[in-house]
Amino acid sequence: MSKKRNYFTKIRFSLRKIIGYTSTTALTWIRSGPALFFTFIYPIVMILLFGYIFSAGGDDSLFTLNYMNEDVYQIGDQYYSNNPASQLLSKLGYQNETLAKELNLNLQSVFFDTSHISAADWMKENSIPYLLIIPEGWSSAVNESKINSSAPIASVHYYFDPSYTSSIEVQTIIDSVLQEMNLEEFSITTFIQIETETTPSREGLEYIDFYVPGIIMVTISTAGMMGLVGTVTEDRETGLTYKLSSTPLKKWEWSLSHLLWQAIMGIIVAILTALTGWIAFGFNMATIHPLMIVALIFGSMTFSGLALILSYFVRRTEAAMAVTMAFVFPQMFLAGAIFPAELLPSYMQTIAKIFPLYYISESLRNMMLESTFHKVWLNLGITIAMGIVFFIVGSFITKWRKE
Amino acid sequence: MTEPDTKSHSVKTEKKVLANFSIALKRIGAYVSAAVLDFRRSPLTMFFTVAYPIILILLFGAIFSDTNASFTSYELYIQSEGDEGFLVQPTPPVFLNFTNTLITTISEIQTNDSQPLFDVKYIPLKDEQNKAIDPGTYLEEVEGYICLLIPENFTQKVLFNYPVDLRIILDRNSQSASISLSIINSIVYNFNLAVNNSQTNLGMETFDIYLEEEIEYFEFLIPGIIGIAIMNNAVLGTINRYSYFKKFGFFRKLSTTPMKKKDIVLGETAWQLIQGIISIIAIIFIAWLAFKLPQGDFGWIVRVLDWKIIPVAIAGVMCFTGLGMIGARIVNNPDAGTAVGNFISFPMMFLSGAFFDVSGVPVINVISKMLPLTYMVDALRASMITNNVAIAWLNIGISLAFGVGLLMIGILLTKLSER
Repeated sequence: MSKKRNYFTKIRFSLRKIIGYTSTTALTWIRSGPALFFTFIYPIVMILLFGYIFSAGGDDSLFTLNYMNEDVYQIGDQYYSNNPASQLLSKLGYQNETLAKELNLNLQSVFFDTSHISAADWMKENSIPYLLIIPEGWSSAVNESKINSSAPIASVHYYFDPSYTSSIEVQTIIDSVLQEMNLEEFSITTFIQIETETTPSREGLEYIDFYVPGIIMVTISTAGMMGLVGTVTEDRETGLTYKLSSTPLKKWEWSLSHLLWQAIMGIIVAILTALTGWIAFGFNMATIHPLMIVALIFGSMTFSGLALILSYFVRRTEAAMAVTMAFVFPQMFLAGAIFPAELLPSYMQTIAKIFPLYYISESLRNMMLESTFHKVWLNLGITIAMGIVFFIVGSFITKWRKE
Repeated sequence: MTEPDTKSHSVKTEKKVLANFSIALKRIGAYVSAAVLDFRRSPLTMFFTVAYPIILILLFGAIFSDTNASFTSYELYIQSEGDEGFLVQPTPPVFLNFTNTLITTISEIQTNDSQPLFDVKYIPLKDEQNKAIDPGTYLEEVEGYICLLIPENFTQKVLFNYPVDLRIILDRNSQSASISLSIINSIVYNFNLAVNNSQTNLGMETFDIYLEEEIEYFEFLIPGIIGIAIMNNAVLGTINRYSYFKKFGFFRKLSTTPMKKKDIVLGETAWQLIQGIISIIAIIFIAWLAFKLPQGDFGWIVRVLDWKIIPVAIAGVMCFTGLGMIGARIVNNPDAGTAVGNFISFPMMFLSGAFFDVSGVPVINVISKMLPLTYMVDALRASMITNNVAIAWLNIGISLAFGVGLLMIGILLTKLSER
């Protein structure tokens, strides 16, 4: 009986020490105004940034397409305004704001003398990403092919700078407009047409709904790991850890306090990110599932454990930053949290699965929908296992000695 | 004052200026030596300062380099409800089966490396219990992103009951699905032309403006990675060092030595420049070793090493050391330094067009123009990759203006005395 009581007393004392140390860490953060501000503003900026680039901004994207109409199509001396070149420009949204917005194009007329400077050089000089040239005689060539089936294809010229990824999108837009015009101009019967629909589970969900879980975990892993590795190495450098070893606080209690603080921060970051996503981009709050808290806690545990492991190998605060960045960056790009992993080459998709962030983000995403919920358990199981293993290893190898 | 007196006075002033300059140089040198020593004594810091940009270049090189033959075909699921075909009776009679024609066309499309573009997989109509399979649910179960549904007796419908709808179920958040859809659209367009016995009359010729230079896409990312490496080193390094100095009273101690504020600032900038140059060399060398040497392109490293990289690096280091100093002024302890450093550098990394093009995104493209990293990356790109001298100098000029401005603000805000 007394043994049992003794055992409970020990637990109570431990809990008191853990809460005490966590409160100290929290107090340090709260007292450091800028640290608190920047830690919390960071996820907000991240969700605003990625949300805007990948979802909301995507709908409003307007690519400025510079064009030069070299084609002068005349009947007698009179300029014929309804020529194919003008039709093409109209179909691309010329003087039609609604259509231009629909196509995501903003047409801008340019002129330069092609006998003095090539289109490529002109674009290089003026940093122009894409240029459409309707060559001289294009309209006549189009009309010629209407009466002569063996006439060559009447082609417009599209110049692009390959360093702009949007050049492919603009090319696709022009291509589809030309196809449509081809069907209309040459009275081609449509035998087959495409009707698209969304996969059942994705109906009603926007891009932002998929980015929120990824961004939450990226923020927790980046800020959490950098913060913890920095704090642990600095405490060791300044001898604080050594001083702690002479107090009743045990190593596992110290580790657990750090974990607790990281988990609290993780939950706050998640709430802030979701709220910002909801206010700014209409993130679907109904997709939030209570199990997400489990994933967040074990996710934080994983990154805390990893931070402790990295701190064991790193002796100095500056090195800690470099080491953490060398881990965090590839993880961020490979684990599919920000960029879809499917874009990666197959062997890199395999490498992506080495990173803990992959499983945590996947489990969070799968929790969002009933139809994908059956996939949660494997990823959540891996997340929980990683959390426990990394945390135990991290706590175990951490040494409280004077540096 | 007589003429010889004036002459001797001016010689004395000149000597004094030179002596002061030489002493200032010595102090800056001492600061840099201390930083180098600090760096050298931590092999792990050394390793990761170099390893971090190397990891980035290997990562992006592997993703975007043309040398990687690791393209996986787009997985296209097809469910066909069966097609009996149709026998057309001209002389000689021709048996048409558009379902087979469509599937064969899709299967035979190849990439430039003669790899099949689509990996065609079939969705059965019924399961083992003879229950109808819902293609959308099936697609999700197998984690596919696009499926094409061909209706029953497609051939006859096309011939006698057109237009026929080809249903496509896709995951709208998948980029592979979007690319596959645009290819299928093109196939359908050509199919319509073929059935009409027509051809494309309106076309488009495309011209890559850097085709002659044979620039691979990943090369455009190298300047971005260099810019990011310099920015991260300078912003995080300066904030951490300055907040550490402030916390442990080093600034106070330094203020009692002959070191002046400008010596400390210039010393820090010089040290960041050395680190930046180490990163630049490491990035270019590893990119050449990993992606260009295997192609037999030995001269690439010489082509990209342009002397204009130096003024860009100086401008970049001035900008980001200045930003680091501004950040360090806000914080009192090194923990907060990391948060502030991340806050400054992280959004800039994505907004500057270093990784992906933001020119088409409204608001973001305006914000992008306000960031020093944008001009630094553009200057590096124009100097190293596209060899566009005018653009290079324009961006170097803007970067230098940013650099001088930010460094001046940083110097003004830095205080050696304790607050």
